[in-house]
Amino acid sequence: MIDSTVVDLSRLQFAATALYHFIFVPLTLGLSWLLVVMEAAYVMSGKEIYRDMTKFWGKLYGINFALGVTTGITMEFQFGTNWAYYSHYVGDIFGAPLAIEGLMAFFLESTMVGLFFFGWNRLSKAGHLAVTALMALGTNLSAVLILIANGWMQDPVGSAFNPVTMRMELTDFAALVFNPVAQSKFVHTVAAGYVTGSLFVLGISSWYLLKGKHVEFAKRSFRIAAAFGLAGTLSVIVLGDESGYAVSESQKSKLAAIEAMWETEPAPAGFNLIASINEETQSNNWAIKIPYVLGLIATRSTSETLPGIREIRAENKERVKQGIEAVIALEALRKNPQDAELLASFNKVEKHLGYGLLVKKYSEDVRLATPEIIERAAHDSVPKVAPLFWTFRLMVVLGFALFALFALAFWASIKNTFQQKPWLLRWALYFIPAPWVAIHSGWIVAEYGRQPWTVFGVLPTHLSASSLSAASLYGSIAGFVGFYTLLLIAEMYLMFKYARLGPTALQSNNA
Amino acid sequence: MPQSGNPDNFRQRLRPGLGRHLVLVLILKVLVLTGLWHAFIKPNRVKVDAGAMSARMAEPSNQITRENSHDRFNGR
Repeated sequence: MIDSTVVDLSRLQFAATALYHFIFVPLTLGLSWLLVVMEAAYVMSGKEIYRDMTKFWGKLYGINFALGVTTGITMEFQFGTNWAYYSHYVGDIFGAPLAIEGLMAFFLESTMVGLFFFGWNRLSKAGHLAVTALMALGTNLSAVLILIANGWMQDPVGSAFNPVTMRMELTDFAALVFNPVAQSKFVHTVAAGYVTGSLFVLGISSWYLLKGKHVEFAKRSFRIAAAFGLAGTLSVIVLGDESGYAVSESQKSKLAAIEAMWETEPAPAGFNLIASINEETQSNNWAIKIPYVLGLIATRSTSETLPGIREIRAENKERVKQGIEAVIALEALRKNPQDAELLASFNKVEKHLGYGLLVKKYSEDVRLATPEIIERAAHDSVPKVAPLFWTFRLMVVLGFALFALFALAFWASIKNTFQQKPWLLRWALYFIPAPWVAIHSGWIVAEYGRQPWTVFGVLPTHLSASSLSAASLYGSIAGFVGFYTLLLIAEMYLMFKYARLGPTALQSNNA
Repeated sequence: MPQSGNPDNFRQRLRPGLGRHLVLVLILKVLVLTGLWHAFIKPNRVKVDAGAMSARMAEPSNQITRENSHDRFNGR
């Protein structure tokens, strides 16, 4: 049997490194475009203050980039070390966007970062602006390729299983790239990054205004961040709705768990605002419900029903039974790969293969699966409800709070009254961590909600992990968490130091 | 007049600037990552092929033997 401790530790290590990595990424995504806006204002107006703004916020961008770069590399190592079976099974598909990301987007971004910092006196104004724009483009291109890979894990389109190579193989590259799940995740995620960058600028500018320091610099930064942030939050909300719609199409179990919807309701389903969740009885002790809202959001119709968790588990129980047949057929086919009859039998049940593999968590030999084991496998096919339900709501509440903040900040910047509103400036300052909390909540919803699969409906997580020793994993987790924590401390130290110095840092340190 | 003799300029050069901070961080990063690589990644190279995948997914009786022969390097 596969050691569940090893699987859990591998998951913990990957989750920890991904979440640490994602502390750095959204700020890079957001600040890069803000730098383009600021530098474009400099090139068009010729006002030196916009060049100072680009240089100063670029310096903070540089700190974040230097600290954040390579934190993602450890995740790619882990595909090989901790998730070797996953890598073999889906590497032909998953590896392509990751390789393109490394060779194209990351190289573009890294090259342009160098030109951005060292090219001020060597390039023309327009040339330097083009470099800044290419740097932002590289950052965003990186995100789209990573999310294409991730989108395929959520909805494995454009691929087919080959029983000879025991791999998933790409059948349609365009389907992989234009996967609606990937595209909606990309726009939602990068928009969240824009909000993060905007609030970073807005919050620090607010601090300068509260202290009465660098006032002209802070006012202009505040205005740009307020406008960009408002556009960002609106995009996050609209594109988040699109992302939710994509989930309702491809991952009904995730949607049902996010909404704590245990029973199938008549269309359009109601939305549980808050609920007391009881996993044991598969029901809510109580819930505050808004009628019709979930059905309208998730199906965009008044007539389409959404399946509840109990119905999904009952359907999946049948799929598990057929999946067991698929595993048995695959075994026979592996022994006689040329046998056309065996291949035809396997092809009949192949689409349920992943569900049959869920049984292997409890029984090495699927033939020995008892009704109780089949029941447990079907139960596992929907993730735990409470973590998804609450992290999703935390993300949504923070998203709307950020929208309110940016709407007020934008209005105040139009009216030029934000300096007279210390409460607004304090709100912006103290809310700086909020986008990170929202983004990490969203990431947990997306990835925990995919469980029990690494590739949804195709490959269970417990079969994806390598057979490492638990001791080795404890050591590597301690090493990575310790290392990343040091990086985070260094990031905070440098950010605080140079944010406190403000634009005067441009004169005292010409790095 | 040469600037290098001025004690203020000398102190200015010694002051830790952002560039120096970042270079320090990047050197530390390379060292720590190299250490982690040697401690946890290099000795755990994992090789999976069609046989090992098949053993894990579809052939219960052979799994342990085949995994040992394919999955771990350096006797781990």
